[in-house]
Amino acid sequence: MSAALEVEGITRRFGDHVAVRDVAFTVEPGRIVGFIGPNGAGKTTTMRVCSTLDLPDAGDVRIAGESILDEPRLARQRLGFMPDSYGAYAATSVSEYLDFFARAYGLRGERRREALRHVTEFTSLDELLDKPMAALSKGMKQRLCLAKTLLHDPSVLILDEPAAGLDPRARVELRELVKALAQQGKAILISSHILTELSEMCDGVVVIERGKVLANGSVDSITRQLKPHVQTYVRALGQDGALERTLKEQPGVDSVRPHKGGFVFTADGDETAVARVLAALVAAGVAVVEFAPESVNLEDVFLELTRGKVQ
Amino acid sequence: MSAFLTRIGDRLNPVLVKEVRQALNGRLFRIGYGLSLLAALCIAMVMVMSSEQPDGAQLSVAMFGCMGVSLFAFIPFWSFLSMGGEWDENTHDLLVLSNLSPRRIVLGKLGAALVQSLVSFLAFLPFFVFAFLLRGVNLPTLLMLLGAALVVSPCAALVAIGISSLTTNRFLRVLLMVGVIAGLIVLAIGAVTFVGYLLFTGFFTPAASEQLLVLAVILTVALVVGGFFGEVACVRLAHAEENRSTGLRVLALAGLAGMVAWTAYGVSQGADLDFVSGMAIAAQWLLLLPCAHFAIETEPLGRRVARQVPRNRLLALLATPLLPGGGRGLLFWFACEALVLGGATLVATQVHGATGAWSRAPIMITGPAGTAPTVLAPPTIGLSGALDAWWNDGLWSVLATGLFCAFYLAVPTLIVRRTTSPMRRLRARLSVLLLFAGGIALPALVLFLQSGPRHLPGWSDPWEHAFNPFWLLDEAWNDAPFDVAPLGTFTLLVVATIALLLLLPRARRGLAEVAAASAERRARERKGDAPPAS
Repeated sequence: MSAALEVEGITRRFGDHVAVRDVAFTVEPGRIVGFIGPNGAGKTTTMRVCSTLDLPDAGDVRIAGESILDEPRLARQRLGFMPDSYGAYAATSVSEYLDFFARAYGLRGERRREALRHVTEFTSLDELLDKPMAALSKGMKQRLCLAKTLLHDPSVLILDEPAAGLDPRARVELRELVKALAQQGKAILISSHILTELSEMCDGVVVIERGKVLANGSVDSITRQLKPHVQTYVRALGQDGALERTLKEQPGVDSVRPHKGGFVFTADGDETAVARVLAALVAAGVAVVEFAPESVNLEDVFLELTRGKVQ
Repeated sequence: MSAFLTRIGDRLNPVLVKEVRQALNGRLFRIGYGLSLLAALCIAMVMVMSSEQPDGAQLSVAMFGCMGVSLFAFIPFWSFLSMGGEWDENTHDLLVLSNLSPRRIVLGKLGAALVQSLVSFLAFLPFFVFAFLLRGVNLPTLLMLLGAALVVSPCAALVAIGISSLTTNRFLRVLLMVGVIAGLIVLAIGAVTFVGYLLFTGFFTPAASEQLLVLAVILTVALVVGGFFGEVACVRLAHAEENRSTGLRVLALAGLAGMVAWTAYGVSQGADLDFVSGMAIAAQWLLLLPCAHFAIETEPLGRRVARQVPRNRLLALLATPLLPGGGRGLLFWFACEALVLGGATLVATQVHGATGAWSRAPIMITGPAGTAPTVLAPPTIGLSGALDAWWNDGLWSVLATGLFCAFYLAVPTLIVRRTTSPMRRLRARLSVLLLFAGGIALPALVLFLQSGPRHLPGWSDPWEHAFNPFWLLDEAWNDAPFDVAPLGTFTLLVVATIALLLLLPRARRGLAEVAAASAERRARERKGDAPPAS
């Protein structure tokens, strides 16, 4: 499948400061890619370059095949960008705001009305159309901004911190909306500091720090790169000494350490090696009550990869 | 009918619709509009009640004053705020990402200013009708002034929009706002004073061609300046990879063409050589700032612009001064200088022809009665004689101005020729102004500290030095170059020659890049690569 968003080695300097250095990744249609990194890592700069709002000093970005340098106007037509700072017009209602942007995207007549109906239904804004924008809550504003972003039915969505400042319910709603958009075949690049949210919706992540991509791929593949050995948690009924001794006696078992009333160990090899350890424990008469692979989440990956350094 | 109106509504500029809606709902328009109408009503009532025979001209001027506050102050100021608001309210990114082109955005804001002007105008129309019925006011004069006001007000709004777009920094915009407010107050007061003068003199009469000329010049200046600032706003909204320079260059050329046209018209109405050289010098100074902007642009053509260079060699050559890039900015300046010098020389020779100072006709001296008249040779020989007169009576001043401009352009463009930093470019652009002031003040200070007034030829006063254009141009105005200020003239010639020699390689590189892009396009099209879609 050809990528809908192709970032081809972009570099962006601000004077002597290199904000983004040779960043490259792709997002395929129907996939959600999380863009994570500490503050000042270069996420927003990369997203602004991808959105044609900033120009790279080197490299290029293709939006649905259109280069942002050669054909910025065509690239913009295929792109929906939701910035981290929400832009509002004074003395304007929700319907006036959406109508203005629908016209600005060149939608006319029935097509415009259909697009407005579709996005307001999708984002559940149909009850708020007459409400002045100034009276909207943060969650409603984010939904309105997403509705505006979807008006011209873009094939690529770039969402910069869409969940920032939202309460848990609004975050869940936003997550469901993003998932639904991916199911419609849109390629989505999303940045957020709420990694648990991202891990629940993203098919892949790009980790960036100090302007450089540190890792790129699915959470599992990055985890395997970071921790090639399987970590397993095991707990037995009151036989901690026997459990620890038996584990350490097994060939290929390494770094046995106490954890949450049991032990975590690393076994060389694949899941067969882990199964062999379990069989040995049972054979040694250890009453195993819990035996499970130690889960690695996005937060662990993030903390493992980054050092929290800014440029 | 409803379907038709819907179709019309669909095709309206969305920015215009939004801006008008916001403006009419906004406090600024309501307050400005309400106060000016209230003031107009009060003034009209006081004038009618306090006099047995109220004067229509006086009432018209008073009404114009009230309307002028709206037209020349509130509406352009609202446009300034509206443009700045796109950055301050974080809507700029959303707007430029839409399908709206920068020109459509600016036209939408201009249209909104025009609609507000029309609303104000319609509200004041009954007062003007009333003033006309009171007599004492010339109807064509009144109509012409109102029409001119409706042109100048949107032009002022365009200038405000352009100035507002100059910075994304809120603090700097506040500083600009102070300047804009001051400028708009001066504009409003100046416009009302001018209208008062014209209405009281009843200017629209067959004998009042000078006033008509002044009005026409004001409208030309308003349209050119408004257009230029409108284009500046378009440039600020355009994508960095788009061509952000050609529009401004074409407008600068249009302004120059306007000045040439007015000069030719002035000459046809009997203006002398001083008028021609004055207009040429004014054109050069006015072109210096935009040319400094062009000459300090980033050097290489962008990828997108390079793909659009004409494939035809001759067209590419002709288009070169209009394409973006610092070297091509210098070429643009060279071309403008050539146009100014050539145009002024052409018009000047016509002045000589018209005034009889230069004539091809032989002179006939009639002898005593009964003898044949003596035929003498023509006093001056063709074009060379006219050029000789022009050289001694203005051309040198025009040339000297060109040399000053070369000096002011050379230093900043050399400073930034290798940098891509926008901040350094801005500093270089501003340094043209500093160079102008510093070029005058520093040598004067040095001369003063050195020995007080000097008595070398042409250096009799600290202010009398080669880098003071006021002094040298004053000296050169009616004298040949080396007659009065030989040292100053010599210094200027040397410095400007060095500056030109330093500028030429950049200009040559700018030309070579266009030639290469044109050749590349020809090669690409020979290979069958399709031209870009847009």
